[in-house]
Amino acid sequence: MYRSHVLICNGTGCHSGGATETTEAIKKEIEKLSLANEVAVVPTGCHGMCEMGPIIVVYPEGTFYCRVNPEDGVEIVREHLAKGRTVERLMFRESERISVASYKELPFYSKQKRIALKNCGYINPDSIEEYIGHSGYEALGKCLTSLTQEQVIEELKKSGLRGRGGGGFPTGLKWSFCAKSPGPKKYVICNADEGDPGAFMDRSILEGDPHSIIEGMAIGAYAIGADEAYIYCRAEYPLAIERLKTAIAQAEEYGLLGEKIFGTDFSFEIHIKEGAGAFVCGEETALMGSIEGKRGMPRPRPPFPAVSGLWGKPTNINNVETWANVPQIILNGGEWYASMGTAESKGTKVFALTGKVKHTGLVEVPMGVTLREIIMEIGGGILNDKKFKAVQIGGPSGGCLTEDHLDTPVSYEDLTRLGAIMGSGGLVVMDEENCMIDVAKFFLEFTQRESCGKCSPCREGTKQMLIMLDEITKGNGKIEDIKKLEELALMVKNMSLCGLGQTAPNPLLTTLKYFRHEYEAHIIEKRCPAHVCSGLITFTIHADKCKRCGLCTKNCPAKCISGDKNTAYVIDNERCVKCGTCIDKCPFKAITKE
Amino acid sequence: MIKLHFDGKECTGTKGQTILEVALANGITTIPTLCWLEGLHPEGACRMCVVEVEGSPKMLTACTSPAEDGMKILTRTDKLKEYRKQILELLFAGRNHFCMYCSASGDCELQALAIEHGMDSVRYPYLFPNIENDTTSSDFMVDRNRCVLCDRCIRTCQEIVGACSLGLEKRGWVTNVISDLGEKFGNSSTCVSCGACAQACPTGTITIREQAYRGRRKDCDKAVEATCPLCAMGCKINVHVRRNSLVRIDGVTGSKYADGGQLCRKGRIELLRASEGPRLTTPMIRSGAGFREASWDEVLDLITEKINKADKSKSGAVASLMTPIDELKYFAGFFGALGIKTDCREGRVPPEAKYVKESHVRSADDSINDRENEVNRMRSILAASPWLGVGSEPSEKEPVGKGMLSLDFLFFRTTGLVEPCVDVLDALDHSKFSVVQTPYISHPMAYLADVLIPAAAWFELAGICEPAVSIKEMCEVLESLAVRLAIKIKEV
Repeated sequence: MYRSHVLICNGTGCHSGGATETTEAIKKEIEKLSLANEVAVVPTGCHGMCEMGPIIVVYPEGTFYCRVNPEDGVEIVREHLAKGRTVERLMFRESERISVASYKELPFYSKQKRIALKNCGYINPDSIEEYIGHSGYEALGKCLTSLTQEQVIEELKKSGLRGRGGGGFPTGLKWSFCAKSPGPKKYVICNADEGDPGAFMDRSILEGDPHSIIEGMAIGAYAIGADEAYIYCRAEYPLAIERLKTAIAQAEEYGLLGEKIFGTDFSFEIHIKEGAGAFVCGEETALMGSIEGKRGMPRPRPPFPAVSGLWGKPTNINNVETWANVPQIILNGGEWYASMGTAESKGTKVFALTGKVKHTGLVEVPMGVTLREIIMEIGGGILNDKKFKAVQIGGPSGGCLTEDHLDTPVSYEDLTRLGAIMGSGGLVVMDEENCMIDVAKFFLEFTQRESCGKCSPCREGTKQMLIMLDEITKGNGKIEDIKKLEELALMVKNMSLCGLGQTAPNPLLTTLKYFRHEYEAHIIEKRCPAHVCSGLITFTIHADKCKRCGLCTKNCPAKCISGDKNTAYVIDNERCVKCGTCIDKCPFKAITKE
Repeated sequence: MIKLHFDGKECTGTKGQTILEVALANGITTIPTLCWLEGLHPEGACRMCVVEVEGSPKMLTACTSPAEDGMKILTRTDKLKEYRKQILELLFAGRNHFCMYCSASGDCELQALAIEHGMDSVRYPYLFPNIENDTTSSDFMVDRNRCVLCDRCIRTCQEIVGACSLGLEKRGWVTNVISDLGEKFGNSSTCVSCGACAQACPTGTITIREQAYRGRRKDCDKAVEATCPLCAMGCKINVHVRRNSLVRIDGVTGSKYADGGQLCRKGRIELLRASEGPRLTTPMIRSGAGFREASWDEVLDLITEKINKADKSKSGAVASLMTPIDELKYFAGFFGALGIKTDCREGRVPPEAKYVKESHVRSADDSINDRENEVNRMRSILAASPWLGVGSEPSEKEPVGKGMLSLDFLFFRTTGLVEPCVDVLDALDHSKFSVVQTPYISHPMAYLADVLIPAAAWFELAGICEPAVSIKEMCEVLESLAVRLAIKIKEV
């Protein structure tokens, strides 16, 4: 029995922040102070607040330390663990004066409701015992021993769980289709090909709680009558793959995977397929093609995977987050899950909150909370207290929403109505210094590069939209381009084969809808209101403020600032590369861009 | 039986058919297609065949969507027309399509669609991508500037040919068709150069060199369905003819024949090449190292004289594997009547003739027993009958047979389409007097003959082209000889 548990986050974020070194230092110090019998060190999965990593939580107090380097770790052991004095210096600071001691009191966590992320940050992902200790595999046992296949599906239907990968198709209904498909061989697939830039909820679950995925998939396989499964995980997630492999091996050792699980007739095995990282392989038909060893390209549906999927067999494919919710729904009942959320969108959703907010990271909130709550309360508001401008929701396939939409409850229906999508749950917050055309260009750059090249509207259309946007940001746009862009975007949306093409124009369409004035400023006034588009900004040295120190000239990489101590300094905007170094270097704030 | 409406017109189909299949079966022609090709799995890639269904917010690709009872399908709404035009403009802007320099101009499906949709300008900037062409193959050229990535070539190579040489490289707008994971076509280890991809190509991307200069399908006067004369497979071919000469040979695609229109390299490319060449127009007699023109009478008299003098047991007559069966019967009848012992039996082709016909496809199962039979047959042929097979290669398989080839008189009927084997040339070389009946003067066998008689080419015999020169048919020649020899041609 340990008197204290030191939970050290070993997710990818904290890992690259130096968590391994910190863990070593803490372990060594504990040894040194002969505390090894009293204090346990537990490597855990992600806490979500990755920008604050490496994160350490000391239980039973629940003290939350952030940005802990090896020396800080030694201090925590000496002060907190040995002497019982918390290290206030390392605690999370809400403002200059107030530091928050406990995990639960953190505004970042207090609004959250963690179901899919329940065990992330609490248990050692490499230990099946800890998972079992947290009611792990109970749900599977319940299904296999006391529920029929129909009852499992019924429970899922009752819960109102919908596909968390982006589509939002009711999971119970999907399972029932596949269960009804005839045939002795069926497959279950976990889509872990998380490709949205900035989204990492699936990775966190795989790294922090791999057994919940295995359990969820086993329940799904039992419900539809499958005996074999694939986890399609991108090779860029080496830690997730490693932990999955460990987890699968442990589950096999414990008889929770393999032949005759829980002494029943249910047998189940899981394979891991490493994807090469194509975004389009997140599309289910492309993903299955990739598992089959073909080029990852979507094919038209019907036939749907539930009828003809992997190797032509009925297949049920769900996203990581969806699978992670399944054991909890079985354990607590469908009604419990359905008690959270809105009328149509039940339960919780994990969002990857990034961009210009004070606290970035993973947050799991009940459906129906407003964007304002997520951004302003959980995220702590806009970085440097600037003005909120927009939020891109749903990754490159989603849309940009404005301040007017901040009180929109987050649900599949409400977001779709506004032209955005839930997507996999990326939330990129933008402030007044973001140019919306630049944002749309960024996402289109991504989708046109990731288009598989199969269908002509997506392949050629995304490229043409990108070219037009690029011309606008360079100041070469024409007023008719707006109409042309709109027409093209609608065509690509309506005519593309798969979800990638059908949603690729969303960032463009929503920015055109909500930020048309910015497009017009770029085209008509040849001006970028956010001062981002380099083709449309000029740098000026104001002679009245300039003290002729010469720092700007010295630091200019393009050598385009001329002048000396006697004459005034002048920027040659023809040669200027708009890097902004001169503004940063000027001690007198004599240089401005407009 | 299901009922659908296309733009208000009621049509019937069966469950399991796609919307496009029902439309085509009912003569609806208002659904444009580009990546769809009869006989291949539909891909729904080009999106040209998209239609609207009343009551459904989604637009459906006709080529992949199953037809359902009661569907009210709209094929030419203003929205569809505009979208299709936009797609065409994108395709033209995306690559370097210059119709006036393209060998497929006029045959091109992309061009036809653009005209059909009134695409008079392209509103998007041309991308002018820098695209690598591949001219390494000796049989065809690939100009990816003209590619619309319809995947028809790839699917044909996979589903019909089974070679699976073709695939795609890269992603997005820089995607390209490649062979063997990026190997040049000329170095491909899987490509069988059958040219099926070129036939499937809707644009001028894959061009068969042999066809390129001859002209386009649209310039042809007619297309005749015939049987490939080159082997016993008897593939159906579609021969395009322009001003009485062959322009291209296509396989007959679609569901008409089970092979899906597959042809081999020989049938598609070599047959075309072999069909062209300087024609023998008049009989010729050897004169020193060359030949001189002669009259029919002079030639027939000379042959009569030589046949009369020859030892019949040391005479032979050979017909090419590809000689039409009717001619072959006449041929057997004539030489049988001459007293040259043949194995002809009434009412059927002599077994040797059959053997001759089959020898071409025989090598697949070359078991010992077969070889023995072959040797025995070979002996009987050489000892007792005028038959021997072109392509049977006795000098390699039955070397002893080579010595028996020294004949007093040898008559050869060749179609001039394939290179003769060494044995045939040996036989000609060793015989005291030889007659070669050939359509082409440049054929290697012609150089070794003592007398040359002009023959009709395969495409003339098959009725594809009018005879280019006035040539006596084989039966006419043999009848004239029979009169001179005072014999009666046997019925075979």
